[in-house]
Amino acid sequence: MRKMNMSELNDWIFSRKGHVERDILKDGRGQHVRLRPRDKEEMRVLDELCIKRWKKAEQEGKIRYLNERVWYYEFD
Amino acid sequence: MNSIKEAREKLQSLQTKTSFEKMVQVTAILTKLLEPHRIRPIIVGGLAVEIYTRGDYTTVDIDLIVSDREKAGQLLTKLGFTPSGRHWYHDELFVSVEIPNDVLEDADDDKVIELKLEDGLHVYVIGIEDIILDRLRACVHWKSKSDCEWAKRMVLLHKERLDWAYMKQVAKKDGTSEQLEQWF
Repeated sequence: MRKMNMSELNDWIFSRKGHVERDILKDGRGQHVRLRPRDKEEMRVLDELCIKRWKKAEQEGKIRYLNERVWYYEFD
Repeated sequence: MNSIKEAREKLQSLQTKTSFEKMVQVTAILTKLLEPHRIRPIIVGGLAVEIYTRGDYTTVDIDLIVSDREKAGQLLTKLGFTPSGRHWYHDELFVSVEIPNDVLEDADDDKVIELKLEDGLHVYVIGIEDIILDRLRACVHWKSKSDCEWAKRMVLLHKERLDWAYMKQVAKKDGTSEQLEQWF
């Protein structure tokens, strides 16, 4: 069994990550299409979480509507 | 930040950011450099969905509408991106840019939203109504469950900000009215 410490593993991954990511992009985007539809309950929960996250950002001033088509947008 | 050198420095500072923030900031830098040439890149596709769902949806690349692809390509190359098929790719940031079109099709320019970012930069994003209508078309005509899910989520999230009259008018033309009405 080959042994490897964490920093060696990180170096190994990052030395290859660039061309791996690029090859995946070249092959097209089909591979990240979700195949299993979510059930209704799962979707409802995700809807609620998404709405809560947006409202929280609004409350914290990270999203502000300067006018109808100009928004201030800050990252978390 | 008006020079390529400054822009490259700014890009380097993005190394530790999330993939989402990197993609938006890369677009903001590109916008800053293209606007003096009267070119306004517009974010479309998955990154627009990611912006309007605050990162809940995740995408792998930046889709930009740019009226002058050649100029954008030259700039991206100067910024350290390498062309790879239809994409320009940045090896250190792991960010990829694609320019699928030079005009904003099936969408209204007047609905485009400008996002002002923390650092004084800004980006332009396809209008929230148009990205929903785009996903709605995929939902209805391609039977894409995932697109149904994200279109509906964006409707729920932004319903008080949407131009419903415009959406109904476009949906009628697209043959997607029935599905849109269900989400009201």
